[in-house]
Amino acid sequence: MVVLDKSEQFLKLRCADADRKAITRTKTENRLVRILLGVQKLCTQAGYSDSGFWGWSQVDKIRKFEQEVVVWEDGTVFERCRFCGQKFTLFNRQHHCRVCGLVVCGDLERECSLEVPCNMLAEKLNIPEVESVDSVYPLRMCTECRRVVFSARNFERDCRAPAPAVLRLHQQLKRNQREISALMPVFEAQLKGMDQQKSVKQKNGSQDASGSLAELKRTRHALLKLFSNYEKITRRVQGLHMDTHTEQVLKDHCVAEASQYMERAMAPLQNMNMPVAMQYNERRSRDRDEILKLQNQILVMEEQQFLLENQLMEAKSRRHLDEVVPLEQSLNELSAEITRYHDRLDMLEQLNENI
Amino acid sequence: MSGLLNEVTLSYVDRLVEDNGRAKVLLLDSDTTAILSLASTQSRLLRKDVFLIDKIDNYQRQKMRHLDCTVFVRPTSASISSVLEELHDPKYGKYSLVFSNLLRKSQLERMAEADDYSCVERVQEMLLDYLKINTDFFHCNVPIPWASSYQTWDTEAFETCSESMFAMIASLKIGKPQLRYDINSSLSRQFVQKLGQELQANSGILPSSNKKGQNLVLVLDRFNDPVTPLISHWTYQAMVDELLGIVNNRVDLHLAPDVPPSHREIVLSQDQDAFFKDSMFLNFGDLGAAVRDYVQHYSSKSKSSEQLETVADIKKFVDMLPDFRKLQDNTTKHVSLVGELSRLVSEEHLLEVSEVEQSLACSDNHSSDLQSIRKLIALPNLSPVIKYRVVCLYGLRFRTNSQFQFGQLMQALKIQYGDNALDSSVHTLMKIYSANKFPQEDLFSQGSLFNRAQLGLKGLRGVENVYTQHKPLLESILSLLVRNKLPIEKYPFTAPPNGEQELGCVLIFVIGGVTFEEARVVGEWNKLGNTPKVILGGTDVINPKKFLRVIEETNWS
Ligand SMILES: [Zn+2]
Ligand SMILES: [Zn+2]
Repeated sequence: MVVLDKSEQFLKLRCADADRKAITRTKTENRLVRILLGVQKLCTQAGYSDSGFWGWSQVDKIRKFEQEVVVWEDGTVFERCRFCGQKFTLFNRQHHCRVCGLVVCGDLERECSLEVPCNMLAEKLNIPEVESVDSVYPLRMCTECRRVVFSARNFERDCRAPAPAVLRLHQQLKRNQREISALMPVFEAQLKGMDQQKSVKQKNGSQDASGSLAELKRTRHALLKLFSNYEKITRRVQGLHMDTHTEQVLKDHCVAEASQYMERAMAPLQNMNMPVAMQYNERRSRDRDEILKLQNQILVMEEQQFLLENQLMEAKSRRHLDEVVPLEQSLNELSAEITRYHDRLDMLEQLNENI
Repeated sequence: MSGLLNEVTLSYVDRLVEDNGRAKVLLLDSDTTAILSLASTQSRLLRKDVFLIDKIDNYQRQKMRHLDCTVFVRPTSASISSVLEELHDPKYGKYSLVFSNLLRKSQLERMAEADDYSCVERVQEMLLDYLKINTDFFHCNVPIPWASSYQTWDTEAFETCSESMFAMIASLKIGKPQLRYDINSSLSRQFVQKLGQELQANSGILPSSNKKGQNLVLVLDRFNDPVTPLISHWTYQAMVDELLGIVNNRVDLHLAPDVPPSHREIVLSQDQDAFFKDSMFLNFGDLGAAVRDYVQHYSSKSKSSEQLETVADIKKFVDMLPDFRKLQDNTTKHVSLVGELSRLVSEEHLLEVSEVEQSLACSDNHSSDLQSIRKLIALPNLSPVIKYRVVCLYGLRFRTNSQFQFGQLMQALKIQYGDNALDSSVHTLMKIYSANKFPQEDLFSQGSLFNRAQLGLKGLRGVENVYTQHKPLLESILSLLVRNKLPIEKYPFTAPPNGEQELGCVLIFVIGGVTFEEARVVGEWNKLGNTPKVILGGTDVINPKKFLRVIEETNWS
């Protein structure tokens, strides 16, 4: 395998370029700020800032000011729009971008240039200098100037916006996964410790090991809780409404991976020989032993129940009707069995408390 | 057998996508789509939270700036343009750019310049630039290597193949291997020269060899053995390709009757399908028995889970349900596939055809062969491609015979089918081999081309029968090569060989396309755990249909 990392070289090249671009961006931005402030001033002087109606003389004044900030390109030499290549005609007239002064078309579909109210531009710029600009006088900007000034802002805004629900839930799933993988080795170690303890104790005669047993119980309980939480989040993802096909695919794949993870992660739990650890203090308390056994069995059965539910869900979604009926039947039987075990467990626990 | 290419490609796939727990989109071009579909599975990518896969040149993609994006493309000018386009208006928040081969400096510069939003976080060259079919078999996805004659390379094909081979050599960690070529093939000579230059120029990034012994690249020319791609083969993988066509390890069964809808498109991959791994080189007779055993194995398992009476039964059933379902799925798949093969064998009269082909290839019975061919031509429902194929074999085999009836046979076909592409490709092939245009020293003297092919690796295969007499030339070349007896006069080195005699790893590359039959030769060699390890590649994978079509589509002057 050969993987060559070019990131550093790439970043260096980008850095070298970034300075040049930053200068262009600052220049363009400064021009826009100057124009916005100037136009605002002229509008305020004339006494109407947001009426949306400008007299000819006022417009003329503003135009003159705009051309003081940036020289307008001579339009007579251009036959076509520099961006879209459309020919200029009586109906497709030439326009000047107020920020760079270049000649462009005003085709509303192609958006080579657009008229945007000053107050909207100021709001998008979102810097203190132009906070006070409230004139709705429309300023024509070409696509390139808009890109230079606003696209990075838009990009950052998009990235900072709250993530969609499916991705937030996915992050929760991932957190949950990390907790499970942190706890799983602890559980395995405790289980192994129980086994070893058991063989030692058998040699030395029986002694109480309920401390480590309780620990094991707690860990197992915590694990089970994590799994059930994971499953709950998965169901929430499943229930999300998606607007587009792409989003739907994203969601489906997220759910698919989540259920595959459950299958993978629970496998060692199922293979573990719980009874060996659990039967250990059989002589000491038959009841307590049965409680543990019951708990263990319930644990296993609940895992199975979850798997079955998943299988059933999948079979239903794939419309494998031939599988749905037996799966449902199995699930019902299993649920009934679990209830029966729970009842017995409750009874035994009550008895033991009394002792 | 240690996973040769499987191991390599999997470790690439694991490196491709970062395991950072963030949801990702993966953007590919058509080259890398094929590369990746052969190297990985979707569930493997899902594990790394790749939830969307799309084409880099699909500009309709939805903007989702909270997603991370991994781009994996071949550094072609088209794909680089698409990357630039993407960076100009990034649809996602963060980018990893991974390229399947070395980037030019100017390409890196243009991308850095386009990254206005500083959204690129990682740029890597990952030398995974070949299509892995089996663990010891790959190709470059270049159907036509020739320009105007069989002696000149198409410029673009030349670049693609040498880049691809460079990537292969680098990822195999065989250092700077020795290069050998076929003295009769100028294509192979040009290719090793180019390869030598590339290896020299980029020796800094070639990992040193981790294998004992001398590593070797041997470049061959398809035109040195036109017989293998013209006759029917009877091993599983080769048959599926000839009769149904394998594209990126996928088989399209849409046209097959009696195939359940779930198996209209199936995947035949050595590393994902244990049954296929064991049976891919079985010949058709043994295959039937293997499938029957497989079905029995499945039904014995299914019986044990039929009675779900107690909770314990259910538990057991649920435990093995995923495996069980996989097994069921796979059994159905192979039953469907082998059933369809049997149907095609009888529909296409393949036993009769094969008998004639084998006789043409391996014995000297001009008059009886001629008679059999006439019979085949007269069969109304035999597909034209088979008829032309057989006549083509006849033409190559008996062109020096005084009773040569090639013209008549072709005329008979013309009456049936008129002017057509097959007709002209057969004539083109004949032209290449006539008038000593193809400078093979003894290729056609007394049918030595055919006799030579018989000196195969003896004992490599079990049961010989009338349908499997012919052995590809590659088999005898390999047999000589591994015993260090491949004549240097015919297959010279580009640089004088050093003292080391023992071969470590051998990379054989066939210009003009390589067949699954040849992949079988190499696969069986490796399966025995022999050294040297052999890896086989070609400009493309071909079968009889494809071979004739490619001949037709080349612009021979
Ligand atoms: Zn325009
Ligand atoms: Zn402008």
